[in-house]
Amino acid sequence: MKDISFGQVYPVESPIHRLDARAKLIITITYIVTIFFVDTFVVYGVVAVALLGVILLSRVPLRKVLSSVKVIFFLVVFTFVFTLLFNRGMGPEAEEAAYGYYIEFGPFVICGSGLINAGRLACRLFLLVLGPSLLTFTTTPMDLTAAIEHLLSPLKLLRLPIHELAMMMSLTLRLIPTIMEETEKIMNAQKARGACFDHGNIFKRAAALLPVLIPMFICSLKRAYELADAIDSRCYHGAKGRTKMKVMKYRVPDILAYLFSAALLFAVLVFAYNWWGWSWVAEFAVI
Amino acid sequence: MSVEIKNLSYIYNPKSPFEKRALDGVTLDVEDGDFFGIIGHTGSGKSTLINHLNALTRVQTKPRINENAVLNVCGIDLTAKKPDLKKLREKVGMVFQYPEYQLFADTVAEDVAYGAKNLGVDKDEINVRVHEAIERVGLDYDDVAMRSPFDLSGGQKRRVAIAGVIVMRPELLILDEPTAGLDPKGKKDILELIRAVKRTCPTVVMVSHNMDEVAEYCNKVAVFEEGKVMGVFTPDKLFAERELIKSLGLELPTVTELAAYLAESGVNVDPSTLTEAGLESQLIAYAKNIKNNAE
Amino acid sequence: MSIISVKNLTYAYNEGLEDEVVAIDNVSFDVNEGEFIALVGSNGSGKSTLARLLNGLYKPTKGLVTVRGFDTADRAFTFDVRSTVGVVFQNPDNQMVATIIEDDIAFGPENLGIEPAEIDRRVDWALECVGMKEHRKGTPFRLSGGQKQRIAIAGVLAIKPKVLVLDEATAMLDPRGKKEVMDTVERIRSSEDMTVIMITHFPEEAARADRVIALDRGRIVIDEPSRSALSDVERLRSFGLDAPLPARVAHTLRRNGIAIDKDVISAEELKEALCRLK
Repeated sequence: MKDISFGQVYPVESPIHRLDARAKLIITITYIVTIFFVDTFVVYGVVAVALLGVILLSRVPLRKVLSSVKVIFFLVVFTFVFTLLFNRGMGPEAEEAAYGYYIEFGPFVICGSGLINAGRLACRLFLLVLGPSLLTFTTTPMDLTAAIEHLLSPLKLLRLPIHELAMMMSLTLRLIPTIMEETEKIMNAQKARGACFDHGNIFKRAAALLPVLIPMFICSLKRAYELADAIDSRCYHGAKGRTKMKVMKYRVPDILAYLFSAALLFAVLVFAYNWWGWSWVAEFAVI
Repeated sequence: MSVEIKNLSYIYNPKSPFEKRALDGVTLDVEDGDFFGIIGHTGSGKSTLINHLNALTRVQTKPRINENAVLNVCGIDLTAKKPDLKKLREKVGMVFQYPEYQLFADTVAEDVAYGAKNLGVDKDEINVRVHEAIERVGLDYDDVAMRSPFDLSGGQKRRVAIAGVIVMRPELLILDEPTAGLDPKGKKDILELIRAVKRTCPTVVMVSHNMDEVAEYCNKVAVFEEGKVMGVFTPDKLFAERELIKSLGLELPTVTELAAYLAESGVNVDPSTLTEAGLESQLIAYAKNIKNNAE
Repeated sequence: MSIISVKNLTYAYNEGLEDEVVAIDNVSFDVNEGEFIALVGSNGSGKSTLARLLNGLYKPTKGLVTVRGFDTADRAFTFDVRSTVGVVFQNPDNQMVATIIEDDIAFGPENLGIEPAEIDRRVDWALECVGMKEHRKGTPFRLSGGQKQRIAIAGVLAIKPKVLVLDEATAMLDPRGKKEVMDTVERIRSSEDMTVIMITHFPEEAARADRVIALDRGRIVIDEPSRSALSDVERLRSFGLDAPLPARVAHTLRRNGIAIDKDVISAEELKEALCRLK
């Protein structure tokens, strides 16, 4: 639990780890947008290959990245089945003609269009999860916070307290592991005094937690006060007149990464809209 | 025998980049009546070990590292799949580091009663035990029982926390650095308190960084280093093992260090003296001897 | 020259309320540049409160604290005061603001608005001072207590204070950690000409200072060179304090009619006194 402020970063050196966090954040957002323009399996394949390349470059084990879809596995299965069973496609005759089958049982239907749609939806969900999870495997929450602060800094003109929010965020990230550790200690201490946290109904369990929650609350307050003293002692006074040691600066790999993501978006758009009416595009991405 | 440990190992985060072997084939026995000290640097496995004694950390079965391990605490086999934890926690009292942070109730009496209540002790008996426990940690029942534990001083809070453990009338009392963060007088008070408690809870295991305390209070000391037991000694034997102490980067008790320094400089004292009173009586004898010789 | 001046200082918690507690009671002293002062006192004597009054975290209830002539109660001088008097607190976990060591150390200079390249140099220098240079890109979570506390010291040093206040900075550490921190402080003191005020209840640590100020229930009861302060065993005991072991042994010997010098506080001095008996 100690490592929550490193999130799930997989600790290796790689070109992807080294990219500017702002670039990674924006590229991930672009990637999500890109996926929403994909509507054929072939193009999903193209995106998947691109993503696979990035994963290999990040040196995070493929198995590790893929395991992040576990969380949404049931969601995917559910949407897949739901879409499959309720999609009536183009109607019995047209479906029969196009795909050769149209099976009805009770209120449910299985047809070609339904199967294709369900499959696309599943692809979309999987790809949607994999991108951001790669971001969290290669970027610490601290870096992400700094990136968000930087990207949102124009909003300071509207007098929004962006710096303060980012500071609160990073202090929280800093304190969570400490407080988790503390909670574990207090829980152990009460267990040693015979406490039981997994017995009885929900009310009993909630009551059993009081001897943990009260000390935890008191300790957290004490920590907060001490931390505030330490921060004040080190001359903190908000964003005004504050400088930063790490100046965020884009480097060549960041530019290349932006270009790559733009290229992917462009390619997907070409397949989606076929602006110039190229026949090979129309043929390439039929399903 | 209070505690019997053979070949006990424990690995944190197995098979990950953060894998750490916290215990590595630990074997040691604590006998009834021992005041057993455990010393070693932070991260040497002391805390992991004492958490095993109360089954807060269970004997690890995956990966298979404990196939012939033995862990018997107060007659309960903790390598069993489902040991009787309730009975265990009744027999083993555990005072963690900075135990005052576990206080939670509105009144001292209520807080102290918590452990006994969890054991299912009946009401009248609880009252008797709470009264007894508070008095035994050197607090005045009538003065503190109905006060909020949070209004007490640091040293008093720690006493209340200890009362909250001895109210369970354990056979084995485990203390993790009971004097951490206290001033010299507070330290002394707590140690004397433990010594007094030991009359009714016969076996005590104490983790400590303070060699002065270990030398003065313990009859046996286990030395931990990187998850291994480097040996179990009586304090005088341990602090005579200068090479071991030095190679592990441990300290001598302040008294022993002074005695050793004086002995080295030609003053006639035992370099392994463990107590201040012992050193003083030797020096008095030494001075008187010189005086007599001169006369 | 005095760098901190405390005049008739009184501080009360919950001032004017029913549960008012006077923590510091009419205290006066001056801290001279380059001095090494040990501030001792039993738990609850007001030591930590005093530390927080020295850099303006608390404002005096009565009296005056000035740092380089700046009144700590005047908000206009807050940063002059705080960049002069750096405080290291007891619990190393509660004074780290960032999860990467270099970010944590940069925090102070960043607040002062120093330009990035200079901050970078200061981080290097501060880590060098505490001997933790190789940990710059690391995280504090996996460090030992002593190492964490050295990082905390580096974080304060990066502000380039003139006075370093250590508020029981070794109380929560194991012997190895205590030694690390004490050695670090001594090294900084000699190499950077720092004024050090060390709050402690370990007599052996106090013996390293030149001057000892003892507090008892908010009042200064001893303010003397460390030798005379720490060798008077009876007086220290009357305030619930301990003398260093050699001083205690010398005291017992004297009481047994053995002619040992009165001002023994170190092992060497005890040895020499014993040798003179011959």
